[in-house]
Amino acid sequence: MVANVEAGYIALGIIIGWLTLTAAVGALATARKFKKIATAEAWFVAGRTLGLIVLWLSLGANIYSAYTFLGLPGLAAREGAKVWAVNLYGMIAYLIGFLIIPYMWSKARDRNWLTLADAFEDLYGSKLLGAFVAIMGALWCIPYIQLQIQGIGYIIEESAYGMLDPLMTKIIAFILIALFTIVGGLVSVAFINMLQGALMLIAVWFVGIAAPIIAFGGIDKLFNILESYVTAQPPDSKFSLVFKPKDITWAITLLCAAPLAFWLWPNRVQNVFGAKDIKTTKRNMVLVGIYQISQIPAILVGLTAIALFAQGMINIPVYKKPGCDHAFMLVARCLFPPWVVGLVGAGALAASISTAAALLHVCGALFSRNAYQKIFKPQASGRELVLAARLFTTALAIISLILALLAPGILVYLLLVGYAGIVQFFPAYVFGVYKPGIVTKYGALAGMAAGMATVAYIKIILGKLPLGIYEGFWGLAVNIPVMLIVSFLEKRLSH
Amino acid sequence: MSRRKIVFAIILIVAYIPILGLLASNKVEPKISGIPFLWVYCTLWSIATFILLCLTYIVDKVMK
Repeated sequence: MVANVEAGYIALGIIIGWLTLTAAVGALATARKFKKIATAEAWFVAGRTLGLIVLWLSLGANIYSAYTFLGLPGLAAREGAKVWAVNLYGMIAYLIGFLIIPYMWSKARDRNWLTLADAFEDLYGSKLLGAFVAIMGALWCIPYIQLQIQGIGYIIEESAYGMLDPLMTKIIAFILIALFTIVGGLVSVAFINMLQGALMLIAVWFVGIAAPIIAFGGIDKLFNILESYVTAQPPDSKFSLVFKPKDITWAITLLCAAPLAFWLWPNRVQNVFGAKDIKTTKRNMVLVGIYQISQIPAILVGLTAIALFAQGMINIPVYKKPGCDHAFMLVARCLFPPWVVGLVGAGALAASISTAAALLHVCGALFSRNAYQKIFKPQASGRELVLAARLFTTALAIISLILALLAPGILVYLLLVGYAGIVQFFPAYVFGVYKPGIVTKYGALAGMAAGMATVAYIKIILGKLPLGIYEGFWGLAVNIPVMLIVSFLEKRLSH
Repeated sequence: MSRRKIVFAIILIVAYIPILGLLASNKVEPKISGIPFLWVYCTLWSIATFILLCLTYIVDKVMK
């Protein structure tokens, strides 16, 4: 590809300007709260001080990331109708969230839970279980962090108009994430996310609505082109305007399993724990749902990309990996001037950096508090905990970077692997909160471990989905019986 | 179970009901305003779920 230097400088200049602005705001927020930042509660849950608007925008930026900006358009461009299963599980997850999150917040405040692992430790009276949840929660976040590194790399690559090679863009992505994570605790991450959340919302609606109209004159005409494409698509293209028979099973099992994991991602739990009161958490469930609706314009961008490809206006094959995950930025480059590409790129980059920073931040918190302090060094001071968190965060970021460089995956599927692992926390969590006494600590541990092992076996060794069923659903099918059988046996033996 | 919880459970079930129609709606025709039937179905399902979420918030406030 021939580099368009002038366009690249304009787009990258806008992105750098935006990042500098948000970093300055984050640093200011940290400086103002500097005295409090040394305490563990400030670093982990912002001292439970986040109000409605800050929590809304920061939670939005925390949840919606490269996955929404690049992954969903990529999946829409690659496989078409299948993308709806991904949008719908998220929407259903908000209903489930409304039912469980306020109660979770109250418990967290009353029992001083700072992390998800605190909840497990308290519910089952086991430090070992808390440490297991902390470490496994962090490990299942790796694909999520990897997808952000890949996504940020793609955004910079496209915004540079051919001036930067993919390897360099991924390393820049890694450095950006590290900088934003190291700035401070949840106070600054929340304030940075607030700005990112606002920009990403504007960017996704603007491109999603404008792109099909500018390119084809309307959504109906877009679908006319797609119908023609379906009949004449390349042999290795999987695009379809309806669910294929094998996708139906996958979609239904995904819709049943993934919503259960949505609110158990460590970064989301912790962001919610940061809310100042229960009313704020409830209002947030509704307000953050607006971000989920915003996935619809993102899907339209993916369809626009494949239609532009069908008409020869995009030369990169967006129907297959890795071109599909470039769909959003390719559409922006194809239809808009460089300054708009810069703004849209800043929005997408903002979304990805904020999610990655929040994930790394919370994984560090989980490790330092629930593994380092509880298992290795109970007398650790607050400052020591923050140091341990930052070291663990660095290790996770490096592993994610290596995976992004050596084993890049399709963005949406990377996240769904993470979901499959995280959902294994759900049965033990629900029994622990709502029906204590039925599941024992070893039952919970065995169930979660068996479920996660099943997911890992399917993804790494088997390499395909048995009967087309989502791997997270298979994990639950193993997890729940193992959890109940081990709990029953443990109780029998102790009697 | 309290009345409030029963209402919440019903809302959650309603959100899942469109799964039952997924097979029947998995088709391009009839198109609505030029958009394939499945895409209209899924868009409406997504928006309806958001409306149910707003409804849950209102029910929670009213039945407190």
